[in-house]
Amino acid sequence: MSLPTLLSSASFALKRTAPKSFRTLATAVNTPPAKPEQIKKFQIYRWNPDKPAEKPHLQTYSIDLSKCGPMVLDAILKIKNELDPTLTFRRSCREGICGSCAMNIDGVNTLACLKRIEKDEKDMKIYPLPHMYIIKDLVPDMTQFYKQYKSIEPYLQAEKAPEDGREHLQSREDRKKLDGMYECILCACCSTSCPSYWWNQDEYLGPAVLMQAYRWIADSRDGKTAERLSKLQNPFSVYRCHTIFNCTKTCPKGLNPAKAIASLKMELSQA
Amino acid sequence: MAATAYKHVQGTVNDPTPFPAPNKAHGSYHWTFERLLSASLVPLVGATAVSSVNPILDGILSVAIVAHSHMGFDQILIDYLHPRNWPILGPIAKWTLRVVTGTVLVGVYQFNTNDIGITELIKKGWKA
Repeated sequence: MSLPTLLSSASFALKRTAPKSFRTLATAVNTPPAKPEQIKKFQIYRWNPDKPAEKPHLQTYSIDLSKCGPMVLDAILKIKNELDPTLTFRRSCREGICGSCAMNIDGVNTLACLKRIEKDEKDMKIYPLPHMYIIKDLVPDMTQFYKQYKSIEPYLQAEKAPEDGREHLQSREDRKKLDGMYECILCACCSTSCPSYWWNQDEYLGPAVLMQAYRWIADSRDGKTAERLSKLQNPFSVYRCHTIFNCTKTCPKGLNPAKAIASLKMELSQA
Repeated sequence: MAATAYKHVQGTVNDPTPFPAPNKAHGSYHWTFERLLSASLVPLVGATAVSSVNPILDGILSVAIVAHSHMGFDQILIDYLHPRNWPILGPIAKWTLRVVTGTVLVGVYQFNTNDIGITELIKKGWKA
């Protein structure tokens, strides 16, 4: 074969393989067929602190689910972006690790980013976390919750310095005791689902904070166990828990605060 | 922040919430006693089915049931009518409960000593 023919066949081969894989904006006409329109209504709690005389009310928004992501957070973001920029809510990570978008959706406290939009005809109702002071729309005031969390001193208080001068070691068994508690993201879904927390929020710590209290009591590296337990010896901090189990039922992370509180009561009895 | 501090929050937003003074009698001892009392009712009720009717068992069972219900009602009052929120109604409710419990204890004692006693009463009314 002569050199020119070789070259031309090579360029031919290039021509055959290369072009189809490129696609410019101008050629992008082969979009998939549009999904059928699917309208879903969302009834969302609205309250504006700038108009305190106006009572809180539900406002209805219609969303085409074929042009929306699968989660409730996608829907309310779409509402805020396209329909009503005044709708106010907290959100951050959109993957269930920050706990910002905790709200009451169809009667259940959960994270909007982890809750799928039900594909039925029923309207979806969205309220803020129950029995909290509301700052605006879906934004509750978490001050008391955070102050309570601070009161249990949620940090390691070791008695002596680590032996190797660098880190506090613990056995695998001791580390295992913290599983199911350290994962809590403090979204407050459990505490605000608890009737005892509704009525006695000022004194009762609530499931989320109690689970963290026990998380530090159960930690083998912590040296302040007796002090931590002694602080809870009163009728309110722990013993307003009447084992209702709403906390465990609602936890969007699948944790079990009720079990932690039971262990805490056991620990208190034996202390 | 201080000027606009929320009414429902004590102190500043950076203060931890305070704890009530620690007291085991109102904490773990109270809770443990409640549980033991509840659990002991099970064998106690079973004993009345096994043993013959006798006033001592009647007396123990009566006191246990009355104490158990008194503590149960007391929990409801602490939940819903605690004096810190109900300065007038709270103490009234608390003392009403105490008077009622005392009256019931006297009445049940009279019934157990001067009449047929509670075990016999329930056996009479129990038609399976």
